[in-house]
Amino acid sequence: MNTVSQSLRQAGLLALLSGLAPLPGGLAEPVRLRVENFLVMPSTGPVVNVQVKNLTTDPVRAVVRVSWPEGWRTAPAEQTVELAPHATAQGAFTLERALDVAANRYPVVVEARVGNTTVTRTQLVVCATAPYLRPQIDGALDDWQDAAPIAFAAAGRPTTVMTCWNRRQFCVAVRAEQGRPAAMQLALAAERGDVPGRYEFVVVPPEQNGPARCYLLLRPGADLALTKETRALAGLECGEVQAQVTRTGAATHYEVAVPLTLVPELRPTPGRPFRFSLLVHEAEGSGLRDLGAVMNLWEDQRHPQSWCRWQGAAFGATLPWDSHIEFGFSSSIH
Amino acid sequence: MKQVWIGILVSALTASLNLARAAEDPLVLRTAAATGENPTEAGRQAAKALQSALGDVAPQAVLVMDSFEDLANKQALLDGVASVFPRELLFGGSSYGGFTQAGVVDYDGVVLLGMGGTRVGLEVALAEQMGAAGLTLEQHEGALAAALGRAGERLARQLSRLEQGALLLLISDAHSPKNQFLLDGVQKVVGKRLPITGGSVNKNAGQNWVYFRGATYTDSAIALLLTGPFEVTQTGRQAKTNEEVIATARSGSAAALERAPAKPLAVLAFNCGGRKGKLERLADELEAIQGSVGKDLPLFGAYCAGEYGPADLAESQGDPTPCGRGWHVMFTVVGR
Repeated sequence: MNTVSQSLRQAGLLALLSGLAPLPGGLAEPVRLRVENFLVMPSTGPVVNVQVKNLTTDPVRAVVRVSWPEGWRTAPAEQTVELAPHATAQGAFTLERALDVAANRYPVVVEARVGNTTVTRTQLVVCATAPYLRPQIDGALDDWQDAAPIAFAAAGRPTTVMTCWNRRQFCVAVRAEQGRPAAMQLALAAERGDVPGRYEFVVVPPEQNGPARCYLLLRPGADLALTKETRALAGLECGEVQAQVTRTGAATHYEVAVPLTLVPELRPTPGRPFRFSLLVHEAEGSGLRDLGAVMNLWEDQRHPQSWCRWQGAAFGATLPWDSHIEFGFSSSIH
Repeated sequence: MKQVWIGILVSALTASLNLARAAEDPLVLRTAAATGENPTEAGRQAAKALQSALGDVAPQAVLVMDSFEDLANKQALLDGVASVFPRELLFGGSSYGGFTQAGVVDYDGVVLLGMGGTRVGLEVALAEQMGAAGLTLEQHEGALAAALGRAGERLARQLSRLEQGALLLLISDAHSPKNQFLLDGVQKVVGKRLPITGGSVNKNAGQNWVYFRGATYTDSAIALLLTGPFEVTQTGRQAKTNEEVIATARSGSAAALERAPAKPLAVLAFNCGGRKGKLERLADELEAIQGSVGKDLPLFGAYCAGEYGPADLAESQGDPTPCGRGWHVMFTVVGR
């Protein structure tokens, strides 16, 4: 049995056992938990935050512990988090010794003790990092070997997302198995900007041979009411962004380079956090695949204003996940 | 107008006296920095400023830590520094920037540390082709540890005056956490009591260059052994958030200075590029250090991909044994 499935099986048992404990106030769980993504490679010893949300109308004290992959050394052993009613807070854990894995999925079990109740959650945490690379934006993804790919499947269709940065660009590559190319939409923001908000771009394949077309849907400071309008893309062209959409077998490759002059708030440097997410649209408006699906977000982290609507896109009945997901710039995955 | 001229005269006299005193000091450390789009010109400007700061003191070595991108620009930078100082005195490597008392250097810049003095001795060593390039911890941990350990031993065995060594500067293309493997090899030869500081060079793809006698090397490490009648005190502080980076810079530098001998001569700060990434305002860390050590002592800071010095871990209990770590700022106060 591999380590991932073993850990998940153990965690399932823990969760079952914790479910037998008496729960206060008629609530299924007094708190909920999320281990945030690693923002640089685990072997480099980052801090990892655990989010704890108080679901009750009373203040609570939660004692948080995490079971990390086998062989990792972390500190402290537990964190105590004091939470006002309905508040969310973080407990920070330092990875003192950890090992990177090529699959970029790390099984963790996080638990919080609140009084006599124990809440447990099992996650596969990804390293959501953009290392320094200088890929050619040509639709061939062979120069992304040193990225940290995040792989997931939506309705059985494999998808891989990679990000990187260099002194001039922030770059994104997506390999998506799909019948034919449709569009890729990405959201990008600084961790803390002078102006709140995000950049949002959509890349669509060319009608004929040639470069893909990129449209700028949103900028920081824009009125979020814009997100609700289903806008025509005409007039939103953003020629500064380099984009290619190509086909290799059954896969579509989306490759994009956003000049840093267009997103100056990002200021990439190793260790700096930023916010990112991505949607792959299916042809003929047959749905979405959402990077947020593997980010262990809470079910209420779906907001109508998280993504812009545009003509030709089908968002479906279920809102996509929040587009403001923690990522980090790093130097190298090696 | 009269007051201005008197002010200039007093400043000039003070500077002359300082330079005269510097020429007699057993160890003289001075810093300079420059930024600009033209690496040759930035190198030349920084070197001229360093030459001026050194006065009559002839440097035995100049440590060059730069944040220019790509080998051609790095070589142009070294050409610029070499237009002022002999090329064979230039050692160092790529960084993510750095700082001196004059300010912070981000991208496209260089920070220099000139080392000289009447009674300072210097030995240098290079370990080329360490055999670590392309190896990953995930797949080759054993091979990496062995290759870097051998390289560290090879480096240290070139130094003949270890008994008299007061400080070893180590610059390596072996970033955290691999830097500990290299240090293990060095310490097999030099033991664990010799104060060591330094850093790992920038690990951005294609930027991992080490400089030895003005030439560029990759998959290599260099060592500079300083000997002479001076002492060092060291502290290491780890942090991974904006507030902690600032606080540990303040407390770490203050602790190193507090334990320093009667006359501190300079402060070295080999710092983590990841810590720099956490800073919301780049100058905050430098200002915190200045709050502790003042603005007069020469201060050399370099943002690296791993640092050498005392680890700041729960189990270290203030142990000064040098380690190879990440996320640290390693302060060394040199004094006599």
